[in-house]
Amino acid sequence: MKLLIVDDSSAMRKTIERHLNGYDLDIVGTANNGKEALEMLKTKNPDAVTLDITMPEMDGITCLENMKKIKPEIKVMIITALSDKHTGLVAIDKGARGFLFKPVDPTDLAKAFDKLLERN
Amino acid sequence: MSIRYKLTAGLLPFLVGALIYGGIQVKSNYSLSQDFANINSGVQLSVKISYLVHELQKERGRTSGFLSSEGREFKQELRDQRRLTTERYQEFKKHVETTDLSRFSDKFQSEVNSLSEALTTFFSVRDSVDDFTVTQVEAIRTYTAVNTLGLNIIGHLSDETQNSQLKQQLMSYVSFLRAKENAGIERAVMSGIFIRGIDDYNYNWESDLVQNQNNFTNLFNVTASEKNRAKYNEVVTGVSVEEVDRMRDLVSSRKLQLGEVDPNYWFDQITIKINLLKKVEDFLSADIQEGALASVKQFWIYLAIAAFFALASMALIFISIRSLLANISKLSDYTQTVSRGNLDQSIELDTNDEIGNFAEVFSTMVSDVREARNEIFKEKIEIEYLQKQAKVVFDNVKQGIFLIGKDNAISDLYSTEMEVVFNTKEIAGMDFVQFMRPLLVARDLESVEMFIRHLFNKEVDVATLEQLNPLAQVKLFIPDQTGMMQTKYVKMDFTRIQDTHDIYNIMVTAVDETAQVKLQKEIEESEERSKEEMEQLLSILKIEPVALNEYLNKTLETLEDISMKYERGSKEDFSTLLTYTYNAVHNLKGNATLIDLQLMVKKLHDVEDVIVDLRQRSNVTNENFLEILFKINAINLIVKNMMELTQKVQNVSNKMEFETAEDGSNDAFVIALERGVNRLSNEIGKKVNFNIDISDRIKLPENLKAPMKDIITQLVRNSLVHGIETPEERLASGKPESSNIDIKVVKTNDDDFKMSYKDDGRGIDVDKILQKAKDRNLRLSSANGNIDSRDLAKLIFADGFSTADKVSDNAGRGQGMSVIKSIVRTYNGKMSLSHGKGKYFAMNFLLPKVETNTISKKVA
Repeated sequence: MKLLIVDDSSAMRKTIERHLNGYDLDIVGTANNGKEALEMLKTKNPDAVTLDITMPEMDGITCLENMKKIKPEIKVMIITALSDKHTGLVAIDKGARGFLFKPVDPTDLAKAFDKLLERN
Repeated sequence: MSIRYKLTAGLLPFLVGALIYGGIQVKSNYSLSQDFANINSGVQLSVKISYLVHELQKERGRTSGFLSSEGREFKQELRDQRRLTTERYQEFKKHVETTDLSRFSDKFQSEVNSLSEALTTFFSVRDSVDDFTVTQVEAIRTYTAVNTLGLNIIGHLSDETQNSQLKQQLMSYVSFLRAKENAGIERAVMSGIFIRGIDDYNYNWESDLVQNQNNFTNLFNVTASEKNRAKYNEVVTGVSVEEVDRMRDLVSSRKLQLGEVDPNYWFDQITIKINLLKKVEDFLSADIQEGALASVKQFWIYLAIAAFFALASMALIFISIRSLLANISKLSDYTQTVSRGNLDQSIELDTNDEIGNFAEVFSTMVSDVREARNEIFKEKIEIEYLQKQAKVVFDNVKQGIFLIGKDNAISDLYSTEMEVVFNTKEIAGMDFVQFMRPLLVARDLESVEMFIRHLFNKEVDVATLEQLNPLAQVKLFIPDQTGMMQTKYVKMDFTRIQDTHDIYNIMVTAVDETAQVKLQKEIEESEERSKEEMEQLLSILKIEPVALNEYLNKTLETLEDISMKYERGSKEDFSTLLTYTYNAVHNLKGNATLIDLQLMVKKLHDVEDVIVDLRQRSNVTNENFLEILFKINAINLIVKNMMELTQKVQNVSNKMEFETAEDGSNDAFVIALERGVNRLSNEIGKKVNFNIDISDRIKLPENLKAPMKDIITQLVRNSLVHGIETPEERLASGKPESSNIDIKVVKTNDDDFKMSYKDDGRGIDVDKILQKAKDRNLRLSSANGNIDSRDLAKLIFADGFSTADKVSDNAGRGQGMSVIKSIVRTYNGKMSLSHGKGKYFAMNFLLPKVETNTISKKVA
């Protein structure tokens, strides 16, 4: 399972990487905005993505929409500091299947990934 | 059509058929019995004929002997015999006359008639015999001819019946009679032989007769019944039979000597034999008659039995049908009872037929149905109980509970609390999103719509969704009965009702948490108040009682002065009043900072904010002052409260706490100042060595302590904010990291007090002051770029002048120096200022000794 981490904070990207260590996941890349993420989707062809919402260049929701257009089966987990539930629901509506609020608890992340990956 | 009629209709053809069949049977039996009756009559007739033949045979024998002896013998015997024969003839004649011959066949009738006719002329032969005009042979032949006629009739009787047994019986009978007839002829022929001797004719005749007898006897033996044959063998035996055979042998061997056998002896012997035969004949005729009679009797018995069975079976059928119909009727009544819903009865029919079995099975079925019905009834009661319980729960549970279906509609069943929470009865069946529409803003409503949609989406994990529940705690504006909007805090939880295949419903619970939320807020407020009070208390405990008392008293005084000024109304213009208020408040704030009374610092700062705001406005009205007054009163209350608290604390630990607060001691004054400076320097982030030098010999008058403290507070704040550099700056400019503030108080010979103040900061930033002055369009006497100390002092001490870019609790309002100016003026003191650029800032004060009441007046 190839994973792409998209977050504008390098610290956050590292945190997610560290937390997911030991999972059967191949982290194929990290992107710090939506545009970069779309590029990496094309070049690295990941199966799953963790996606921040508030990012420069292209926000997470727009990125999610584009990703689903390019690869509908992609599994997307939103990890955001944005406490707005409406945006969260929009993300679910656009096809995100996991959702976590920052700061991320490693146990929550593990559980969320278990659920995200067990669905085919 | 009832079963009764159906059965009747079904049985009718059978009954008719049975009757017809019975009739045919009776008729057939009747004709058989008629047959027997005819035969019986025929047998009677035959018996009469055979009796007659028997007598004729005897007469023939006598006649033969009479003629053979030419009248010498048998004269008397013949006469006697003729009489007997005539008697039999009369009987026969009479019998024929009384018998209905028409029942016999024509042939039989004509034969009987022939015999009767033959007999009417036959007896003339007797005259020929008496006259000897007839030969013995002719006579015998005449007799034989009549006998043959008679025997033929008997022989033909068997043709008159269809009954084979009777036919056979008659045939054996007639065979027997023929054999006997031949025996009779033999008697006559042999009589002649024994009288006249043997000749060929008679010899042959005799041979034929013996042969005939044997043949007929054989025929009889073949056809006769066992019983009759036994009778024959039993009867026809004895000496006479043997004698007849012996005498026959004599004739057949032709060894006979004339006179060797007495003709009478022969006659006697053979007659004995013939009589034996006659005996058998009577037996046989009786047997036939008996048989015929028995047949008739049998018919009647048959008829009686048939009638009995017919009646019995009809009675049986009647009883069976009656019982069947009765059972059917019972069963019918029972089924009707059952169909009316009465399942408590059972039925038992005393019969083992199909109806009985059906009744039993049906009864069992009814019993089963009754049990099943009782079970259902029990279950129904249980369900009703559960429903009632559920309703009670739904009516009483303090939670809105309902289901949302796949069509987003709210379930018909919901808890009564729903109506209370949402203050409406229009709930059941409503689209949930539409139901929430009037209570939410568009964006939240959109959230709700997406949320519900994905709750029904199996692809989305419920834990993920739970985090995004837009109604987890939502503030709703719900109109009450009067249409007034009520604010409610409602918590709604959503649970999927699902199995492995599908999500069927969403169960929603809604709880009105308004009370809790309000309580929470109250608790927070209460905590805030407690914190405030605790702070007050802590302040009291940690601040030197003398300083605190002094401060509180002064504050109370000042605040009351302000209040009084406002109450007096608009004698002074608003601007002056504001300035006065501001200065007073600012001074109080400075002193609060000095003794670390943070609560007061904050409250006073708030008042300052309001004043600053008002001063920037052009049209200030009386009402605007109310806000200031309101706040001042609130502070007033706090001060009074603190004074009370102080009093209490003092009462509790009087001695301990106030030991150090000896009247006239400078220590408390110095310590209070040191603490204030330390606090300020820590807040501002600059290090300072505060050095206050008051000679122990000097006793500071109480009324000067306050103004001196005010002045020092303002100056220290000014130094820390403006003059003293940051530790980094100081190190950079070659100064020690910690700055120094030196204060020295001395007493002059005139009992006045001199106070010097000096810091080792950067001095006055003249350029900045000039720039600010320019910004505010202050007119300066000195030329551009230069400024004399007089102008400088004027600017520094101007009201509202500050070089700070930001306003804080400690500086920036530009009031500090102006406050110092007003204090010095109040106490009729003097002050001077000096500074070295980059090196120091210093001020000298001269405060004359004053009386307390003078000051009070001056302040007022």
